[in-house]
Amino acid sequence: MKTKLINRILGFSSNRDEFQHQEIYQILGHTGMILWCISMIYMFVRLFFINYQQTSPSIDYFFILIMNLTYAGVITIRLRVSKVDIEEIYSYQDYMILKKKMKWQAVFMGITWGLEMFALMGFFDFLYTGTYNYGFIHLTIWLCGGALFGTSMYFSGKSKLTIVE
Amino acid sequence: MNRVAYYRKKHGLTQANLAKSIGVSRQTINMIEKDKYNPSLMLCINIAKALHTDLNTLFWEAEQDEDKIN
Repeated sequence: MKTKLINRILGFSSNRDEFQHQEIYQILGHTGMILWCISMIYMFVRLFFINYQQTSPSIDYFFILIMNLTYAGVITIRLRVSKVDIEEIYSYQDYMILKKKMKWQAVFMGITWGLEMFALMGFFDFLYTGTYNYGFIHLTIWLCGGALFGTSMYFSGKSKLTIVE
Repeated sequence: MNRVAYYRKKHGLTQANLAKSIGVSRQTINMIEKDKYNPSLMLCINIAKALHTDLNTLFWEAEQDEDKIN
C-alpha cells in the first residue's frame, strides 16, 4: 500500500530497492518538515495582516490550521506508537539526573512561552485595536498558561524516559 | 573500505549485472562499493551469495582491527 502510494505520487513505474527507499523517505521527510515550517510562517504572517486590517480569519485559514495540527499530531502519535521517541536509561542515578535537568528545562520553557505569548498577544491586540491595553493581569494569565505548558511538557518528556534494568 | 568491487571484478561482473542478479539498482551497488550506504544484513548476504563468498571476506576490515590490537 505504502509502496504503491509512493510509486503513484512520485511517478515511478517500478518498485525501488532499500537504498532508494531510504533516500526517498529522507527527501520526503525533510521536505515535509520544511513545508510544515513554511505553512506555519505563512499562518503567522496572515495573522499579522488579519489583525492589522481588522478583518476576520477566513475559512481556509482555519483549514490550514487544522491540517497543520493534524500533521503534527499524527507525527507525534506515530513516533510514540513506533517507540522511537523513547529514551532508554540504564541506571536510576542517570534517570534522576535527567529528570532534574528536565524539570529546570520545563520551568524555563514555561516562563519563556508565557512571556512570548504575552508579548505577541499584546502586539496583536495593539494592531487590532490601535491601543495597548495589556497589563499585569494579562501577564499573570499568560504566565499561568506558561506554567501549564511547562508542566505538560515536563510530563510528556518524562513519559519518554525508560529505565532499563 | 569493503571488497565488493574487488570480488565483483574478480567474477567478471559489472555493477549492473550484480545489481540485476540480486534485485537491486546499479546505483545501490555503486553506493555500497563507495562505502556511502550501509546495506541491510539481507542485502549483504545476497551480495555475498552472488559473489560466492562470505560476509567476513566482503565487509570485515581485518587489517584495521589488527592495527588497533597492535
